[in-house]
Amino acid sequence: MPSEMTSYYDIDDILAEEELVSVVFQKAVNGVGIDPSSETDSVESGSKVELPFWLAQELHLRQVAVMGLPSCFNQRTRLEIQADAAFVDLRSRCPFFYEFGCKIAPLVGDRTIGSWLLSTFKSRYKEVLTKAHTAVFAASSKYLALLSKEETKMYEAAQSSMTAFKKWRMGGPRFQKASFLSRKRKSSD
Amino acid sequence: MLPNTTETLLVRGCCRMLVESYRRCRRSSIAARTDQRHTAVCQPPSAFRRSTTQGSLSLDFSVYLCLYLTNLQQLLYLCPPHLRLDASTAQPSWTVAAHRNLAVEMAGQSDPHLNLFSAEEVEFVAEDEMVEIVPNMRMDSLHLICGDYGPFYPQIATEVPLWLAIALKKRGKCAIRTPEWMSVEKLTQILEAERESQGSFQILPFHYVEISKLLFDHARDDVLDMYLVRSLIEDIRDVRFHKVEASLGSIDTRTSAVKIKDLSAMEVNIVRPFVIRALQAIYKHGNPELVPDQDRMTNVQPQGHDHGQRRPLRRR
Repeated sequence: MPSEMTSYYDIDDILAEEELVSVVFQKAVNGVGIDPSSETDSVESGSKVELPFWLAQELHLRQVAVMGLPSCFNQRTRLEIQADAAFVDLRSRCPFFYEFGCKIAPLVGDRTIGSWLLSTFKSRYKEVLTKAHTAVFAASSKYLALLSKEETKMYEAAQSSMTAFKKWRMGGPRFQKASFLSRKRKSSD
Repeated sequence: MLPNTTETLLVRGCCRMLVESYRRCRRSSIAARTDQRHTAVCQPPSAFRRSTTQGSLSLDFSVYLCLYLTNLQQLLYLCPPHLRLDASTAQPSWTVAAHRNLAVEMAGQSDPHLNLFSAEEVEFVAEDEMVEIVPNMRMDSLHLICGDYGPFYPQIATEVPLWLAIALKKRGKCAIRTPEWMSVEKLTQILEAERESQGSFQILPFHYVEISKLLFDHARDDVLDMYLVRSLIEDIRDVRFHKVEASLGSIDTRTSAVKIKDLSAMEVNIVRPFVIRALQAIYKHGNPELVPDQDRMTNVQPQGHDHGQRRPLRRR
């Protein structure tokens, strides 16, 4: 798929795939040391293991293991987001909430994830915009801790364009100090 | 009429460079003009000369550049790159498509913040707006690539672009007439109308933020009631910006587009990085999961059934 190729070198895309997923093995597998404390290098069928998504995905596609729904997409989180989407701490749940959701949705077979991600994003992005343009820097750090990485990027984009505008408005010849003023004072000292 | 990819690439590569050299050219030609006591004929650098045959390539570029810069004004439609505009909702001209291609390509590669223009660049574009000046010297007409201006006679008003007006003003050669909309009465009217109408924006010049700033910076003595005018414009800008924020709250998910009428250049420029990202995210979450996911589900199952039915057939 072309969309996957464009994000091939994207570091965030790689990091999003590091997220742990619980996996149930359907087949017994030999020669893998997933659990370092186990005595043998084999995994029995039916054992439940937490694996990073990139590995779980491959195993899932080869039908060796079945992926479970991660906790950040469970019913409890959904209820919380329904209650007040703007102040749910997405970062602690999953730093790449949207990206990860997009990746896992077709594999888990939960069709509601797509529309749910959209509604979550829609109810959160406006808050991001208003906060980015109005909040003072010190006050914003508390709010920033709630955002997922994707939202943080948007926040920073909005804030940097606003600060660039403010800088431009304050700049120019109006507020520049004449150079001879400072020079004169130095010589008198 | 669609520009092909090589042209797009060329324009993309040369755009920033051209802006720089164009700016330098403007400055240097003005300096030459005024320093030589109005005797020498104004000569822009050869790359920008109109008549020469060797200049044809660079002329193409400058034409593209002009198109490129003016398209910004038409592009109040902020669309994600994937979305195709249908003919009913947008101007069907290729320029919009070309601009969006350029915008997306440039933004994706060079600037991590997807901020296509800096505030200074928007100001640069605004300097091409026309203003009226009253010169206090006599000078022949100027033949520049953007047009012919003048001749200039003392106390007789002429129209020149803002950059030229400022350059002359700095040398004390003219007084700039403030535009009509920059009077106290007009601005109070606009501010009141702006506060009353919640959904729509009042019609102001596309570059009102930049023009007013440039005039406040360089022609303070020509603006009547400068402090009042300045605070009025600040108020108008604040009111409008809050409206922009409010109207961005209602992005249409079905079309993944925002339509806000009568925005000004600077306002668009401030919200652009955010809006592009938001629209991209909405497009991403809105489309690919809902539609192909169901397709995949329905496609996979019948195949499985097919296999089940075919096997007994082969055995027979």
